[in-house]
Amino acid sequence: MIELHHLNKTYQVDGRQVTALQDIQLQIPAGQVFGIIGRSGAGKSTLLRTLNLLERPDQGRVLIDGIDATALDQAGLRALRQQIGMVFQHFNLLAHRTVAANIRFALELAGELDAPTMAARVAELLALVGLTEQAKQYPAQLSGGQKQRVGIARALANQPKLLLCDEATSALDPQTTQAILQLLLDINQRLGLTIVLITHEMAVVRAICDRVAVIDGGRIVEQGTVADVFLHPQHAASRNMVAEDGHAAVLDLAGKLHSVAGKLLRLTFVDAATYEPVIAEVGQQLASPINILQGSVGRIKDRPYGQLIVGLQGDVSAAQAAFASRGVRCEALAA
Amino acid sequence: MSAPWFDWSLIDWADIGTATLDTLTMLGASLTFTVLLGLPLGVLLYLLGPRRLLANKPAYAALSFVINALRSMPFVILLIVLIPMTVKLVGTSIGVAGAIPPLVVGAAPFFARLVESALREVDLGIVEATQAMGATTWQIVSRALLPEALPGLLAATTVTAVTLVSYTAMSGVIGGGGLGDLAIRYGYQRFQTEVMVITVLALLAVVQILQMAGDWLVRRATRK
Repeated sequence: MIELHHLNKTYQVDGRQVTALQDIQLQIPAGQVFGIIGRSGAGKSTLLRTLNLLERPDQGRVLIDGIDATALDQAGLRALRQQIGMVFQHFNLLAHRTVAANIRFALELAGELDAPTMAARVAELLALVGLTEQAKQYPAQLSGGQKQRVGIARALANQPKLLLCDEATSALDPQTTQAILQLLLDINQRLGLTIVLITHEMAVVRAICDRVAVIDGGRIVEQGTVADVFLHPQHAASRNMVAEDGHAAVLDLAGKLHSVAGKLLRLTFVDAATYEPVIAEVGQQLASPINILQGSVGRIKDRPYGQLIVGLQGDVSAAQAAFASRGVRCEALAA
Repeated sequence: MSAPWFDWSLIDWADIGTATLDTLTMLGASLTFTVLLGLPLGVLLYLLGPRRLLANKPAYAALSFVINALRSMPFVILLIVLIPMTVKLVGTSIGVAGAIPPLVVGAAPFFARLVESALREVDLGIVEATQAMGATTWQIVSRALLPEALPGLLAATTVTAVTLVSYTAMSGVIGGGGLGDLAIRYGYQRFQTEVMVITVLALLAVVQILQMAGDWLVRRATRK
């Protein structure tokens, strides 16, 4: 469990004060995949780095399993960092070391294992990320996805409880991104470790996160389950991130829909409701046709969802009651 | 009937041999001490620099100034200025031994700057990743920075070695021994152009071999 209490951080840039973090309050439950999403410059990178004190906050406390990381001395901080793995956008592998030696590097720095134990652990990690064949290659000989697998193996070497991912898939192509995200999810489920990732892509959050916080201008403007934030974003920054993703049925047709007769409703289905013929049933019950105008269906992590914008002629409150009884959230939209 | 341009019979080849050996001795000794002194200095300069691990503006400015001051001094002047120090250190200011302290003082600041820039070439992300793994500053320097910068450091050493060859030749001015000394005594003061030609060719050969060896080492160390 990670708790951030009232974190503040400002930088001096060319003599000007720039606020990077403003009164950050965050609780990250153990064992979850927690996403922090924001645009570049929103402060997400600084926020992630406060968790292992690569960035020291000006004010506030960073509690990791109840221990205040900001109060640790140098030795304590190094010991904590060995318990926190970190994966980077640009991999940050040592060019002069082979794949196996890059993974062993983390073990060497910790200095707790003898050579045969280290070799066994490296072999285990290579198998975990599927790079046994590449053990003796140098990073320059690897593809981006393979480099990131080395980065992940290295981050897991000292059996951390927490894994920090700094835009881990942003330098990868879409296919490789999916493979790396699956690997991260697999690690989260198999090893039970907590993952905190930062990203500017809603697709990453949708694929593997349990909870998400939206950061904008150094503030957390919204947080909650991915389903809540993704399907019902409250803050403008969140709505923009969702709209850019293009997978939720946000109403961007305003002005184009004025010719549609009747009321506009937004319907949100999650889990079981996705599999029922709800629209047809409600249409029959109300004896009025339902006109599907815009929508999307997909998955949030492993939960199916659907979100539709429909036009309805007839009684809105009766429709809302009918949808609610079938487990579908129904909101009337101002047309 | 024309006289031959050069009369090679005037050359004492044993002298040339000794002088070449002297030059190589001066080069080897001064390069060793230059690296021993310049490498830590360069690492310190890097670490104290802006946004680095031990960033410290006044300390960086002070160290930087001392290095610039030593580098801005022409080597011939440095040779003369350092005579009292040289006598204290090695007991003489002439010959092979007398040449080594000024060579080191002349080359170490130069090498330190090259080390600093070679370290700056290492991606800061690697430093950050190593830090995130819980490394001490010493571990970051010894396990990540220096090994990652090895090709750059070898190139810096090569450049410094070549510079030292020309410095050893200059130290002939104060009786430093070696090929430069020979060139000045015979080639310049006694108008024996033949000796001048041979010493120039010998210096050229030394520089060429150093550069080729250095390039080979850099290629071997490069993993990019």
